[in-house]
Amino acid sequence: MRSSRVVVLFTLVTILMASVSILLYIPSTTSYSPYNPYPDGLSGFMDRYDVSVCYSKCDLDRYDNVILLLDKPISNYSRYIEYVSGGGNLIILDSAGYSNDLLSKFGLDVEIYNVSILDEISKYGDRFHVKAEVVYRNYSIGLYKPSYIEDNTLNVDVIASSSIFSYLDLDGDGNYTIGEPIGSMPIAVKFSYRLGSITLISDRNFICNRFIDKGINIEFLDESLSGNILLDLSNTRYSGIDYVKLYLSSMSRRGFIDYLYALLLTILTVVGVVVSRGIKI
Amino acid sequence: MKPVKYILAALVITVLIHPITLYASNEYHLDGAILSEAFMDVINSIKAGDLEEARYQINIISNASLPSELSYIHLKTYNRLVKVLDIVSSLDEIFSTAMSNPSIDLISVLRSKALELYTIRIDIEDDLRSYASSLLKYVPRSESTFYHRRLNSVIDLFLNYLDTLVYRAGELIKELERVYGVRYAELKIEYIPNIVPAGSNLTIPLSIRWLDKPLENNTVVIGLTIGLVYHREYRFKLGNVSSFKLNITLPDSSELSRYNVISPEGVKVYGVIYLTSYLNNTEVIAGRSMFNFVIMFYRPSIKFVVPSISYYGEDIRVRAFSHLEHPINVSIYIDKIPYGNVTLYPGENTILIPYANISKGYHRIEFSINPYGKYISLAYSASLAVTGKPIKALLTYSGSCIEPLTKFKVYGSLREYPNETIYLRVYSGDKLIFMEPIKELFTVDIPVPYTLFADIQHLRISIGPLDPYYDPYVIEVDILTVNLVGVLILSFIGLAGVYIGLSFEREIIVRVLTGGLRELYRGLKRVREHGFREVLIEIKESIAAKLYWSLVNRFPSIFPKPIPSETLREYYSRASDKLAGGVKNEFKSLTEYVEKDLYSRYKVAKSIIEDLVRRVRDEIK
Repeated sequence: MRSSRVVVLFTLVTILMASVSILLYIPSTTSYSPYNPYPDGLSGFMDRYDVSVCYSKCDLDRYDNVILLLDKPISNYSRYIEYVSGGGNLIILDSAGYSNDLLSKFGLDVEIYNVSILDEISKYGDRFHVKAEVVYRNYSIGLYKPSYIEDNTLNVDVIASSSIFSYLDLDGDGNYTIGEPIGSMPIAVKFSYRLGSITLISDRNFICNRFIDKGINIEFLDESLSGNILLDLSNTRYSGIDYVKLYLSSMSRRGFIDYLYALLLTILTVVGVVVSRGIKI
Repeated sequence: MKPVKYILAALVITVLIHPITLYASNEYHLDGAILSEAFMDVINSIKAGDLEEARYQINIISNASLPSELSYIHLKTYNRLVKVLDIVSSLDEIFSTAMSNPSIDLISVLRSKALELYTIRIDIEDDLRSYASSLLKYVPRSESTFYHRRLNSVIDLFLNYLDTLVYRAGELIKELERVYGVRYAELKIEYIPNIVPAGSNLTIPLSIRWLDKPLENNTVVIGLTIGLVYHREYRFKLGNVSSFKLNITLPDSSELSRYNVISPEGVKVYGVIYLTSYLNNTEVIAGRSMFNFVIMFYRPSIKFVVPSISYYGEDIRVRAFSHLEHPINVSIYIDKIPYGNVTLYPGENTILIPYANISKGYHRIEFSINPYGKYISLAYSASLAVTGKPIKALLTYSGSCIEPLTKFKVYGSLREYPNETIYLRVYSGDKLIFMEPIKELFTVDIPVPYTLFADIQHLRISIGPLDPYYDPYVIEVDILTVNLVGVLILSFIGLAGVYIGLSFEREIIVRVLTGGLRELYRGLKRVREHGFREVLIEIKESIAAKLYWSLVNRFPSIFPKPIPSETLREYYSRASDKLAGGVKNEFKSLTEYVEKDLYSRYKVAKSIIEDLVRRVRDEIK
């Protein structure tokens, strides 16, 4: 009975260590997850920049820049309006038009239409990875199937546009179809609101590994992000595992995980000595 | 395997494959429709005179990354369009200048540009149509007919536009010549052949008819243009003759190869003849005429015969048959390294390459002839194996050997090599394990490498001299080698193991069946801890022992506490010290009965034990 107790203890400690390791180091496959190393993940962005992440109830005021990645409708507009009013820089990454209501709250007649812009001429690899020139800058940015931004407001600055051969894929078939509009279209705009500013980029993949890992968009981000950065993922579809990984990462960052590992290793060592020496517990 | 295990296995596979399939990219198809639209946009911009917009569009399009099969023609077409843009832009400027500030100097500039445009217009037609066909391969089938028609229509209109520009330039030249009073002379080329070999002499019979009185200091200039890359002029001073023959030597293939314009089908040459004269000390163009012909190239008719095998130590002889009418130089390369030059004369030639320059092995010999006259370059290459002379031998061997009873035996026959000592060498891997000289008929016992029990040994047997001019006869064999001693020892150990294992296994089975596994475990533990094995004996339940120990426990003052390691007899000898007389004898009898009951095959009757216990108890009391 006593020896079986040792085995159970040994197994439990091993499982606990393995579970923590797996949760910490096995990559996530959730789109837009900071722990996803695949093309649709944000691990490259997280590695490059010192970014805080929040999945809910984000405290925006502590940060100079907030990147709001939208993968579902926004749940609470007021905190973003308060944040920008107070001088914050809000960068919205939205392909589907989830930010349209928020933009109207800022008094803007700017809308994102869920229609992709494709470009077979000016591109990174294929026409879905559109290469857009940044206005007044000597570099380009990459966007994955950016959406069309309709801008009817005068005080909005276009900061990046697609090439003159880009087209709107109205029927969504991924190819140019006769009659689809061709021409340069805005895909990133910026405007000021009270003390702060809002940058709207019509692609939620803008900071994904598909670009960051290839060194694309780095110049733009380096220029745009100065000071504390918060990645607000409260409007994305994340999995429970990502939430646990976030929690464990924050513990790891504070050194708790090291203590936990040290404790578990000590227990394992003691158990090993007990078993090998035949000491009965 | 239970269904649950199948499900678990499927789950594991799914988890492993999921990230791979999730990000596996689908096959990417280029969108030819939008490329066609862009192409037509550029052409329409040029046609509409919006040259800056066209230049901007081309600049963007040229940087597009495209599949390799399209990128070459894509870049070529847009580079040609840039040249068209440059010429059209220059013509636009000349047209404007002619309107605002006309001068006689404009005539030659305009003529030069018009000729350039005319030449490129001829060339670009094929490029544009080829590019359009390439794009159509990437257009969805449902739209390909639509784009085919549109592209052809746009290209036709564009070519018409270029023709119109050339015509406009021609009209403007005429107008300028008229304005500046140039007198015309008609130049008539009597005959020009359609096809002329490169580097040959061309005679152009030319007649001049002056429309007014002849001018002085007349010079005939012949300009030849190939594509946009080659241009050459010939000048002839003329007297006052009206008909004569111009002899020019056409560029040969050596010269044209430097401009990369040689084609097996020939190249089209556009020519123009000007007559420049002086009028009032001013040079004027008195007349002109245009012509074209094809410069043809020929492949030199030379056949090389290279032996496929040459023996090491022998010179290599290459035969070459030249059907040319003159000697020609040939450069020889061996394995891409220049070897030397030889001259081939018409007829049969023999090229001798000394053996000292070629090692054993495979080599590539290349003969290269530079372009010359009407002949294009020729490169001929062939493989050559340089080997040693083969050793002729017949060899048989035993496929197995059992050590130490038999050896690996090799026997055979060998052709006579009077001046050489022939060795039989045996290699195991790269290691030489045996070497011995052999005669024409030989039998050799070869000691194979030691093996512990049995093994298949891979050996290489080589028969040949040490002389590198010979290639040894080589055979690779697999020999089954058995070490009889090792096998016997192994068998013995195996049998012993099986015997011990079976005995031990039987004991384990008995213990398991009788519920004595714990005792067995303890016994094994003792073996591990103390180095000896406890012999386990089945102990039956004994009433005699119960009665015996209950007697002992009842009188602790007389009987000492038993020690676990002592036997009943040892206990008796220790306990009997406090007993005397009859009690001592009865306790001894009781001990012996209990021993018998416990350790023998016989049971002692309960009544005997009870009787003895009672007697000892009564006497102690």
